[in-house]
Amino acid sequence: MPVLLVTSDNEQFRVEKVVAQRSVLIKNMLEDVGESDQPIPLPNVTAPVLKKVLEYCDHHQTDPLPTGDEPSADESRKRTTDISEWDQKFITVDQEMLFEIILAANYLDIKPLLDVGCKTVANMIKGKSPEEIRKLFNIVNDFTPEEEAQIKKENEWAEDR
Amino acid sequence: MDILQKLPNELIVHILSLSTARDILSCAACCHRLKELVSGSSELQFIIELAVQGLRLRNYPVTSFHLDDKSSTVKVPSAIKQIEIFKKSITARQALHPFTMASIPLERYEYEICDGLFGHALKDQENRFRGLEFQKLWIEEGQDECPPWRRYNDLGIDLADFSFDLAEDLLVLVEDPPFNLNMHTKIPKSVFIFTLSESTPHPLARSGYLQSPGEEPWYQCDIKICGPILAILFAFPHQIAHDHGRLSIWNWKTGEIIHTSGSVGGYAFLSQTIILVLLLAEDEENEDQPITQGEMRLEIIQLHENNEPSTFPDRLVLSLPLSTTPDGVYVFSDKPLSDSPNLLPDIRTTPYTLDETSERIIVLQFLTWNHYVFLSTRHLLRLFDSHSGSLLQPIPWDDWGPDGTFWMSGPHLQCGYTSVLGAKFCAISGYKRLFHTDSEGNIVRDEMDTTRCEDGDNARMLLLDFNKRPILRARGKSSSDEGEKEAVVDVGVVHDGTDEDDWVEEDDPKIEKAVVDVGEGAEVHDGTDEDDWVDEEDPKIARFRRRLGRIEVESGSAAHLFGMSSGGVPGEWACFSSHTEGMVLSRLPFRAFQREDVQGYLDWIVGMDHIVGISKETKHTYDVMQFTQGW
Repeated sequence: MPVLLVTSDNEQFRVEKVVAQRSVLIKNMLEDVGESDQPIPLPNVTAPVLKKVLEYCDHHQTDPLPTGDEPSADESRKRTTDISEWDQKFITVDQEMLFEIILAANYLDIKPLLDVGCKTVANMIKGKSPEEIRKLFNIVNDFTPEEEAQIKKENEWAEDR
Repeated sequence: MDILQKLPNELIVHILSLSTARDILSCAACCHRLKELVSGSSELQFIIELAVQGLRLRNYPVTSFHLDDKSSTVKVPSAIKQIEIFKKSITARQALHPFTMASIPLERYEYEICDGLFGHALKDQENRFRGLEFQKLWIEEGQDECPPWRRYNDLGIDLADFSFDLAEDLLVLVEDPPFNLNMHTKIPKSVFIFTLSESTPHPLARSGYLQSPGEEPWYQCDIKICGPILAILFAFPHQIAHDHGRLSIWNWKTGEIIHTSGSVGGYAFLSQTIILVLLLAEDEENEDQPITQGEMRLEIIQLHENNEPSTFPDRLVLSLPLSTTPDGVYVFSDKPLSDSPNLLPDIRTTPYTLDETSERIIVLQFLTWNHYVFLSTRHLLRLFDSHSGSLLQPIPWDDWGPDGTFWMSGPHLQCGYTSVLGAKFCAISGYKRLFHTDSEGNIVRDEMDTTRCEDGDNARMLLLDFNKRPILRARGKSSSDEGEKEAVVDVGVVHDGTDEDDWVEEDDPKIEKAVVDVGEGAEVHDGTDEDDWVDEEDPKIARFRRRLGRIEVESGSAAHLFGMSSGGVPGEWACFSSHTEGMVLSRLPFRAFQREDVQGYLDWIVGMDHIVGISKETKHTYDVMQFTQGW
């Protein structure tokens, strides 16, 4: 049975339940509501972002669902930031969209998508100097020259690692 | 506008937790907000702290051996990389010597090494074992102490044993039952799952502690962790029926007991889901029926994804040719290669990761006759693969043993004082010499010197390396349309003699066929001049090795031949050829080297590039002997 999702900009998406349930948030909502034709409002997600997210959910609809309902397991130790080929292609979007996808994945509780997004950002940072990272994300340098010199000194040991 | 402003703090921390310490610090140097995020996150600080101390989460080899792939092949790195490894191993071996030592007080003989950390027990004032200290296992110039990393004076439990893993931030504690000599009292044992970095309950473990299924008063235990699987062997005290224990296997993340088995003498993980179990005296299906006297069983069992707990549908039974049931059995192995359990949410049939530098051996030690059997994990996994499915009829030794196994018998080694890491084995020898070696440490004869060490003599330390073998130089022929040409195999590269730059490469069109003759009387080139065959009388050469055996590589694949060695042991040679899918064809069981006159030690632990000796002289210190990198 299809599910009706409504975005913050009032666009409606009709998707298969199995696709929509990749989102733990939607899955829980459906379980709470039971059989119903009521549309599900998603006030934190815009139509272009939801479209992209649903593309991901559609492709991964047959993946095994993460097991357990405990708070998402800490997978942060993973240093190698490898992403599958399809995901890599999927996540090749502009920065604005990338961050929107991460936020949406976080809100909708789609852990694998959140991981893909976060790993992509981690890969963007990889090997870059602070100045390059500032440029990458438009970060304003709010350190005084003295503070900056101090930080540089503290971090010297890491240079050749 | 700052695009990172869009993300909440916890997402930025999550992103950074996927980065290296260096990248984290670069971000912290961007602006105040990121700096504060990094300094306020214990997780990011932990990553940085590890890096500051030179510790790194493990980086496993990239090549793999897939058990589910029926045409299993061992994929090795490129020939060049292989050669580099071998060259390095030769240099490292020649420089093998302890260059620094340190003594650290050891309060109790409970210790373990993992990932460059040495963990040992601490006693409290009432002599109870409730604390642990972890120290980094290397010593800076000018220091004589291993720097402490963590110290937990009281973990809140009387400990029987512990085990840890830095990469997994895991500390497993086994509770000692309250002191009670009455054997009829039933005392269950508990196992606690903590973080190594903070000694708090591990966040991934669903239940804080696990309890052994049996109610017997087990007194000794042996824990091993591999990814989400935790195995403990609880054994009776020595004087009752030693090495006659119950093996319990848990998924420590869910707290489920997956399997238990009685009559276990020892066990080892071959991979994350494949476990080798040495069964002693009874048949598991008829618990009271003893296995025929003299028959030892090895079972290789596989855990399956999504299977109901307590089922092991795939098992392979191997028999060992022993005339009587041995009195005591130990299984030596190091921690299996496993990735962090954080990455492995559930049990699954993970491919066994293996390359030439990570071959592992498992050593079975039979106390009664000082028998040692060295088993290659690669061999065992292949065997398991080729008998995939249940096979409960024991395969006799003759059918499975000789290829991947090596026996050492006689009282060569001191029982108990042995240690295994990967394919390295270290033991104390009771004989003056086990092998005669030349100045470079190569074995020149395989005869034993049967002179026993006298009491009071310093010990002999024996190192066996089943992995790295020296590659020497040999001469061969190659033929092509233009006629036959000589080829020289020289530390991994085949020359064809055509010009200065005549290395034969994989796609070299010149070579159709190469024969490297390693038969009796084969000649060796030393590259000095046109007529540079080396023979026994050659004054240029200090040592002449006779090569036995012969290898032929057909049709265009000569180029794939990239090294060979006689190893110096008559009748045994090794050759390395990428032609055969990168397999190392070798009858040379190991490379051995030994040190004489090392101090008397009670025990050894092999580390990646260290050997730790527990000193005999002063019973309460351990001495760290730091060997060269890449040993």
